[in-house]
Amino acid sequence: MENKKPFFKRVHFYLAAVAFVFTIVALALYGGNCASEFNGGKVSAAVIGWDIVAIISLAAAIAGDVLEFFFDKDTLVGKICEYLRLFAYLAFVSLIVSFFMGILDEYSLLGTILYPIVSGTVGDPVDGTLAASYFVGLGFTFVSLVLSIVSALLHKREARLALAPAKEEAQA
Amino acid sequence: MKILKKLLNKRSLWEALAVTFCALLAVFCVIKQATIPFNNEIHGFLGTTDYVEVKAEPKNGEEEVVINRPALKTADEIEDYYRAVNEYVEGEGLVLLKNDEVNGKPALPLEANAKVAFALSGSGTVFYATHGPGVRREGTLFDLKTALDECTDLTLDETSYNFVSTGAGKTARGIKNGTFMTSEPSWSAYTGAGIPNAYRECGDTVIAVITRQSGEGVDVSWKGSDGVDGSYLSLTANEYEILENLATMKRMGEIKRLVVLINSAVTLQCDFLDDERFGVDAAMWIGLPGATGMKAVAKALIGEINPSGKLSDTFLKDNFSSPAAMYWRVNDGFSSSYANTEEMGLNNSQQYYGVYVEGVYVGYRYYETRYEDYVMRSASVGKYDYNADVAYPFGYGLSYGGKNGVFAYDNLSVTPVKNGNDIVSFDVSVDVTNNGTVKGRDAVQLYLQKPYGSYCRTYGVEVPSVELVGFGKTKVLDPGETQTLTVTASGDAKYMRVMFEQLRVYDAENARTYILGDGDYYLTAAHDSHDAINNILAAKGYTTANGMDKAGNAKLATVIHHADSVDKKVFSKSTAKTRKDPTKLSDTAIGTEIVNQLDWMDPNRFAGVTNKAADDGDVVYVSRSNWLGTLPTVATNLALTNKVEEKYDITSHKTIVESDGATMPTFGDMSSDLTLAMMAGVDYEDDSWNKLLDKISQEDMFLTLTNCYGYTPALASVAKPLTDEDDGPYGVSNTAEGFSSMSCEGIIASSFSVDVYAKVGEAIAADARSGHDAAQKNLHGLYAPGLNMHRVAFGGRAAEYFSEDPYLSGIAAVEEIITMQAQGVVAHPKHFIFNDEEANRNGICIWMNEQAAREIYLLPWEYALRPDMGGGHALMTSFNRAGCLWTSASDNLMENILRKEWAFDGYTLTDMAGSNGKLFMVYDDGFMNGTDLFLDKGTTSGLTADMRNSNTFNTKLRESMKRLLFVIANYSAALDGYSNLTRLQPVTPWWKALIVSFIVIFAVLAIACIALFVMSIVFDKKGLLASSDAAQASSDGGDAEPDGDAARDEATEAETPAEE
Repeated sequence: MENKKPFFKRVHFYLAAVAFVFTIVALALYGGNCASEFNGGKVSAAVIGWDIVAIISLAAAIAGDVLEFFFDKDTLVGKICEYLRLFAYLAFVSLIVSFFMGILDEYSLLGTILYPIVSGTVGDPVDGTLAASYFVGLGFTFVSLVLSIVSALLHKREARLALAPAKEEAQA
Repeated sequence: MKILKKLLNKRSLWEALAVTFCALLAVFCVIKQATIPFNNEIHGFLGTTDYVEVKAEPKNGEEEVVINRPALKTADEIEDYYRAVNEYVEGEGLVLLKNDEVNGKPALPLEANAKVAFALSGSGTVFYATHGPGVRREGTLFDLKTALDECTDLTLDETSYNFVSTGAGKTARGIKNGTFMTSEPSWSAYTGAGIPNAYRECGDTVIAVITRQSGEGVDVSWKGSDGVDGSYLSLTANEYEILENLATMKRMGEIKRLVVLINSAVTLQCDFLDDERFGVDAAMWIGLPGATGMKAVAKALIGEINPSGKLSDTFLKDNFSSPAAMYWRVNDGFSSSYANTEEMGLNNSQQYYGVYVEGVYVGYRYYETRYEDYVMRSASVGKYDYNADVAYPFGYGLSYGGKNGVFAYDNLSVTPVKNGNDIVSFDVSVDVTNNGTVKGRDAVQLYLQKPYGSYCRTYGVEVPSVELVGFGKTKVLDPGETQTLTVTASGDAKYMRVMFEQLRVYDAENARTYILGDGDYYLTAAHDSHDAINNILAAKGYTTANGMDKAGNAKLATVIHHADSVDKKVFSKSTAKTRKDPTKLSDTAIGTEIVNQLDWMDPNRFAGVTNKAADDGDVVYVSRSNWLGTLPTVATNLALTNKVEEKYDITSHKTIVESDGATMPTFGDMSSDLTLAMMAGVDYEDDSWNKLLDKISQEDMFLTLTNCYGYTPALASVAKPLTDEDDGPYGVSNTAEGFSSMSCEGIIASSFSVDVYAKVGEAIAADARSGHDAAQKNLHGLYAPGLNMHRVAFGGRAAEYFSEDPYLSGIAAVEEIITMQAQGVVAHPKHFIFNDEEANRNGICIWMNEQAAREIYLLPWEYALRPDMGGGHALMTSFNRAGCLWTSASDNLMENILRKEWAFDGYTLTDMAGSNGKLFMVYDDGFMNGTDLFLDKGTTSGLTADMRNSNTFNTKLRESMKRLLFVIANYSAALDGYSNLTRLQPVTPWWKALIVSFIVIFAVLAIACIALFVMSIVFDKKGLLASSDAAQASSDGGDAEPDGDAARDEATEAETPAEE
């Protein structure tokens, strides 16, 4: 086995893992609690769809990290793992879309919550679980998208640093 | 090749750029998506449009005909005019409740040199208007002191004013944890700040303002608040304590008089005003005064205005004494959940219901009827003390110039007006004399008593003892002057006429239509509702010996009609008239048969619901034939059953039933040159409407009708301009200057003045047209007036509705709508219908019997919308359900009653379908049942395949479009300046082009970067980029990308010759 830094000692691995968990939590909160009269009883397909893309992408990126440790770079799996890190980018873009669509597709809910605040009226009370799930889910999505891009950038940097001694060795 | 290699060696750069451009692409794609529902808002903000107006070349000598619908006031003129109207309205509407003598003279008006101090936080911070539909912006408002400063020479005490406005006497009133709280400071705060000394130094008058808030979305707290009995509408212990201490100071001679102003749209419980412990000398209800109404209050305090307003609601000593409020108490609030909510799997918009068990006995209809039955010793009336319940009756109001009742009535005369042998109406006249010492006006009220005979008792037809059926307001009468108040064609005596139709009652049980009951019909001219019943009792021979609390005047009551038997035909057909010509009315009543339409919202007539709290499953409605047995003592416990056809069940998205012979309308046929402006004055049935409608595509039609969020979109195919609407039952909501808040609707109604109602409509329409909207828009429609009922004191939106009386509400709306629409501002009265409370309004099921529905809740709408009365051209529907059906999804309400019985010729618009209740406020159910426009931000995804392909649905959709276009063509100021040559040419606004440009640019860049990134990998793997990794690795020695790239470039250059 090559002399590799184990995945569990790499910061980006943990960031991606946390993003992965947060995205699942966001999806569960939104999908589980946010179907309401404000969206016709159906949550946004765009939000759910892009969240799932993000989860799969982060899973791929994490899997790449883990498998890279167990397989030599020259093997097929090793070569594939080398590029799985790019999926963190896809997760990042997916989460951007999910986050903004989560606002756009739920403007009815947001309007109902914000209207009394903006207008100073007492407004229609929105179910606490619904409101909390929506805002916490949105928060988790935002944190996930930040974590996924930071993770991707750190991973990129590590990958490039790892290449340098290998090439020097090859050139020698 | 060299350049390509150089590029490909920057893999790290392409990776970063690809991600960046992908992210930007995603963001701009979402932005583009967001511009669809918010298209009009963005246009409003940026001042752009999707079209430009162009003039077509006239064909064959065609002459240009320009539509001219001018605004009443310009932007420069509107402010002064509007403020003056607000002040005038408040001055006519404020009600003097009490005016005891102090030192041998009435407490009010104050002497010119009087000194005034202030108590209670309301005297420092007035509640001007509810926040949503009204407007409250600082800097343009008159509070009490500012108004007194400007309008009087009174000496005002600064210490007490500073204390209540900014010091420890200022309250943090508002909603805390969902409960309205007054939070008035205690007397100790006053003593701590030395305020009693300020009162002593003033030594004259203390004005205490009692303020109560209310608003949209929640009812006023009836329990859990800091009122002494838990109700927000009762005084708090601290308020009592402050008044008590002021009374003590008065008894000790430290101050002379205590004046109370009630600043509230919801009716305060007035059990304290006549209690000697609190020493109130004079009291006035000022409602919510709007921006400048306090100037009128100030003028009334010094006698420059002589109060002439009469209460538009009964003011009670016990706000829980009405049957509706009794039910609140036994039911622990207005709404309940169905007993089988879980079993039926009902969601939030399905599970709540409210029952109007009181039937027609709303407000004074209960108190006066029970009182009469008590005096007449009717069966099962029980012991009843009217004066324990009622503080001030409906219609009550004092004026200056005498101790009580300065205006006297005499010579009541009623003349039947006939058309052949048929009575059409009764013209009423009465002499009104000012017996007071100062000049003033008075409002004479006409009340009718219909017979409550054996037929009515048998079939459950309830008949209140008195009902307001007319009124008139005198001119300003000098002391000793008499005016014979008789009906006039217009002005304040316009309604000294009782239409024969007003004698009808609705029999839902037997005749299933309106009937004329058998017996005597009494009419009386009275000062208020209690005066009315006393007059009628006197005419029947009753006296105080029979238990009357005051002798009536028999001369002011007379039998105007007698029926020997019940007539089930005379009122069984609609008398509404259509408007064939937009400028004229047809002479012919439409004659639609009137039959039961609402059996499905009466639990006792509908199999889809049962009351588990009763053995027979029925709801007990209050009946005067058995008061004690029917007044609410237990809550209902309704459960839904499955014994009901789909049409009336609680589900949404009902099956679209195809009508026989329905064909798919033509869409998108542009062969005609017709435009909307050419349709002004064209008969609704004219075939040219079809040619115009043929031009509109199905999607355009759907998107136009489902995107009416404060506007209706422009439609280039027929040159329909965008129309702008705004909220505002008593003033435009969103003005830039913030002077739009008129007095609340209760004060408007209490003026009992046709002139006031007309001025209100004129002023708010002029404001709408003047471009004083916050976005400087010229509005073409207003969501006004509010027409729901003051059913109980606790209804949250009382400020937006007129009264507990349907007749008064209806007449106020009629006059307001006429003047509003005369300026091309389409009135959208709201909320149709049964939205009288706010609790769980999103989908709550309202249950009641059809008699109450028609006689109390629908009546004001009938008046407002009938073309031969108010002629409203639009309405806004409600969030709630009637029975199990969303009100907008009931063809019985939206088609049969609204259009077939009342001949309503306008369009209907939902409340905020976009923000609330998409579960049940759905397109298919609405369009299929007579709803025309959705206050929503629709997209084509809402047009499902079922809708798209249904002949019937599309026929309905097209009819809705026609109604909208008909109203705009004939009545809307949106066409002001348009001509038969005006065309709309679609344009792409700069910001839409910019967004698309960004999307294209970022997409191209993202693809290019990804391609370069992939190529760099492929080339690298094939060894075509030797040493690139080394170069890349060397670049990673630091964070600075340029250095790394430079190193890579060097490496590439070094290897290039060898390669070559």
